[in-house]
Order: sequence, then C-alpha cells, then structure tokens
Amino acid sequence: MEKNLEIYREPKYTMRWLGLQSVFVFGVSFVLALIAAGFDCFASSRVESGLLQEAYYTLLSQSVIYCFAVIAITLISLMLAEIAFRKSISRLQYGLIALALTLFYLLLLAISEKLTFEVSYVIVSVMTIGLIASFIKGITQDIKAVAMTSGILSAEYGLMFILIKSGSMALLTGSLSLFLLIALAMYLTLKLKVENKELIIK
Amino acid sequence: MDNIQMPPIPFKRNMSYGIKILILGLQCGVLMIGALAIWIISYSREERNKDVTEQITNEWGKSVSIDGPIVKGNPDSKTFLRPETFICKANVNTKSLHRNIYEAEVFNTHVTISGTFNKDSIISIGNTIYLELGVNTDQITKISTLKIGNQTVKWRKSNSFLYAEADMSDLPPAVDYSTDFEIRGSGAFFIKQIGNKSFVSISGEASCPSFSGSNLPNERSIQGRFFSAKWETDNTLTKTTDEVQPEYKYICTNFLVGVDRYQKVARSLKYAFIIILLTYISVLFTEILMKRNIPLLNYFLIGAALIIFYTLLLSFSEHISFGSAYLVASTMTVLLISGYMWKMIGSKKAGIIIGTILTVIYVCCFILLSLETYALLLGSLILFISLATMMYGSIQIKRN
Repeated sequence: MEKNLEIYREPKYTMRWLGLQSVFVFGVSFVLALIAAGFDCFASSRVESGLLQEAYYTLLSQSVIYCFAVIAITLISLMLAEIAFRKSISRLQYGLIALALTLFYLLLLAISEKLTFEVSYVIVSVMTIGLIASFIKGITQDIKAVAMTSGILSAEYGLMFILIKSGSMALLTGSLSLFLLIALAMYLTLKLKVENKELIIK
Repeated sequence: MDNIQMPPIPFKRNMSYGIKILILGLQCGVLMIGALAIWIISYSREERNKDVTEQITNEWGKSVSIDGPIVKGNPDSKTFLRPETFICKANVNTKSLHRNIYEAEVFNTHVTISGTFNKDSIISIGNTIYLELGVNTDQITKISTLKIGNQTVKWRKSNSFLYAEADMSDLPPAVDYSTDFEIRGSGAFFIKQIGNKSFVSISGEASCPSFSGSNLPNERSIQGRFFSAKWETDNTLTKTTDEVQPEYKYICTNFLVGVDRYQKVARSLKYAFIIILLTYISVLFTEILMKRNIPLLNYFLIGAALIIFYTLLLSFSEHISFGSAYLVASTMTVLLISGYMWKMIGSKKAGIIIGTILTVIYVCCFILLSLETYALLLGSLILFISLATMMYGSIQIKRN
C-alpha cells in the first residue's frame, strides 16, 4: 500500500520545477548581487575615511564582480543536490544560503580592515563554507550532499581568489573557466533524465 | 469502426511549437543582455588600453614637430628670415614598448637638417644672428653642433625651441647650414616645409605608417615594415612681400599602432543575435526532423555557449592576433555545441550537421568582419540564402 502511494505521488522534480526554480535562483542572485554592489560603495567610503587600505579595496571590488556568479552557481548546485539526493530544500533555505554568500563580502570588508586581505579571505571563506555546510547537513542529513556543496564552494572561492589576483590574465582565466562551466552544465543535462515526469540523474 | 487505428504518436512533446518559439525568442533577449555585458567589458578594456598607451607615450615622448630653422636679428624680433633651401631627412626606427598585455609603438628618429640661406638677406639683418629651430627639446637624446657658413656653433635649449647665436661678419659666398640630432617620440611626426624650396624625406621601419598633412608626398613606397616618402615644395612662386607671409605647409606621418581588436570584437558582437537565432532555428529543425524533444534548458545552454564565444574571443585576442583568437574561440564553441548535440540526440549525424552549420555561420561572420564596404551586400545575401534554406527545411517538415 505504501509502495503504491510512493508510485502515484505527484512528481515534485519535474521539468517545470527546474525551469521555475532556475528563474527563482537567477532572480535571487540578481537582487543579492545588487546588495553586494552596495557593499562595494560602502567599502569605498571606508577607504575615504582611512579605515581600509586602497590596495585591499581594489581586490575587494574585484571580488564583488563575481558575486552574481558565485550565488547562481551555488544555488544551481543545490538544485542538483535536491534532484540527486532526493532531499527537499525549501525556497527560504535557498534564500538564507544566498544571504550567507552575500554576507561574505561584508565580513571580508570588516576583517580586511584589521588583517591582511589574504588572511581575511581565507578566514571568511572558511567561515562561510563551514556555515553553509553545517546548514546543508541540518537540512538533508546526507553527508554526500554536504561534501558536494562544500567542494563546489571551495572551488568557487579558490577560483575567485585566483581571478582577483591574476590581474590582466583575469579575463582569459575567467572566460576559460566559464567555458568549462558551460561544458560541465551540458554534461549534467545529458545525465539528467526524465522518468515518469520525474527528473533523475543517471 | 473498431479497426481504425490511431496514428502512432510521433514523439512525446508537452509544449506547442508556438509557445516554444516564443520562449526561445525571450531566451535570445536574455542572452543579448550577456552580449551587452561583454560589449561593456570590451569597452572598458579599450579605455584601459588607451590609458596605458598614453602613459607609455607620455613617458617616452609625444608627437614630434620640427619647425624651422629661421634667422632673426635678435631673440625678440617679430620678423624673421626663412631659408632659401631646406633639406630634412628623417630616419625613423619604431619599436614596441610593452606594459602588462598592452603595447605602444614609439619611435627613435635621426634627423638631418641642411640647406642654404640667402646671403644678401643675412647681411641686411646684421653681424650677429639668432638661428631658431622649433622642436620638442626635452625629447632630444643626442644633438650635434650647428654648422653655419664656415662656423660651428653650439645649440642652446629653450622650452620649445633650440637656438644658436652666430657671428656673420665674414660670410662665404653661400650661407650653408647643417645640423643633425636624434629625437624620440610617438604617434606622429610633423615637419614644417619652411624653405622657399623644401625637400623632406622620411624613411624607416614602422608597422603601419600613414601620410597626411597639407600636402601628400610626391613619392612614397611601403614595403612590409619599410617605408619611405618624399615631399618637394617650391614656394618661390608664392613668395610675397614681408607683410603677407605665405602659408607654410607641413607634412605629417602617423605611426599609430592599430589596436583594432576591441573594435573588431564590438563589431562581431553585432552579429551575436543573428548567430543565436540561426543556431536556435537549426536546433529546432533538428528537433522537429529527428522527432526528438529538446528541453528549453538545453537551448539556453547552447545559447550561453554562443555568448561565451565572445568572452573567449576578447580574452584570446589580447594575447594572440585577432584571426587566430577567432579561430581558437570558434573551434572550441563549435566542438562543444556539436558534441553536445551528438550526445543529446544520440546521433552522430545531428552533431555533424549542427557543427557544419555553425562552422559556416562563423566563417561568414569572419568574412563580414574582414570586409568593409561589401559587408552589407554580402550579409544580406547570406541572410537570403539562410532564409531559402529554412524554407526548404519547412517543406521537408510538411511532407513528413
């Protein structure tokens, strides 16, 4: 009886869900990227009042550029985790995770006023990754989902650090990594199959 | 009747083509925002390139202009004497200065100036004369002495000109003068044709010299990096009274290095919409003809790959030439999309067809970029041919 219910339940992860969720993800990323741009303005006022070093500000405003991409990639990987591990994550939780990723910039600004930029970058990214990983652990109780999310986040922050440090090579590195990202996304859509209107990853 | 069989459902689709095409159009619009962002990046890189180039050329030296020599009775005198003949030879050696990924072309020039003054006019000025040569003095690296008549005098520097004082008490029959110096600069080289008869020649090495000014050279030749040009003017016919000075003509040689990669990227971005549209149409035709359902997400990824082509193009063109950057970026994109189609539809044929279509589109786009005057004609012809192909394709659909 229970098995039958399992079969006939309304499929949650449909193609329509994927589309609507992506629209939601991009909307959230866009709004929070605007807020991060606000942090950038705030940082420039901190430079004027002499609290933040000019060189650190340049690096910080470089990193704010990648805010949209970081949030969008993280939330999309959460969608993938939902499909792959069949654990439901609510939209509110998506929003909270995106907020944590935005707060990264404010923390980075605050700590780099006291310490060097590199040290504060490491501290803040460890804090953010730790927070999100434990949150995912709480939501899904699935160690694989936690490992996947924290792995993706570490890769993102590592790449972002390379990009803001590489100066004139940043555009080349950035566009090559975008290309790789698109190739990865294409590969994942090939793995994404529809069975009984339900999306599964094979 | 029971034995009427329903025709088999050809393939599963949950969206009518009308709605699908509408959403694809919206996707094109969204992707154009990406194209706009790339245009903005390209624009800001161009501005940065200009800033860095200006910085380099400011440090090395700006455009050089040679104006003179003229003879005056005293330094403050308003009236002056022009040389009878003026021969100027400039030998230009250009080199590129690099800073980061940006480069600027600067030059080092060896200039020889010689000629004659009218003896009678010199005598009328007096025993002591001042000779002035207008030139960017702070860009001179090496300078020899001035030989005038049978004397050798040293140049002295002022802000915007060189001057020398000479005693003209015993004059030889012809008052010859000659001097030479080395000067560095960038951008352009101006020489005023000051003499009643002027012979100016410029030769040397430069990547893309161009000649302009009041009059174009009488003779010119550009062979690879080597160029030479000669100007000859005769002002004796237009020689007028002292009140009305004839207009001096100047010659100009430009050595601006053509950084046109940003313009080329911006121009190629104009074709982004049509490339995405044509690709979407061909994927849609593949979908219909192969009776497969391709989700909108996959379309979006294909469109995004077509937009990423432009960031690849921009970033590669800063390191290698535009042509090879275009080749690398388009090859990467075509391989990615055709590989994706192959794996998605599961037929090698579909992948090859999409790959061929994309290759043709990119080759056409490159031809349009290289052509200038024929771009519109060729572009509209290509659109006509692609419309005809689409019409042919739609007939195929009806028959199925």
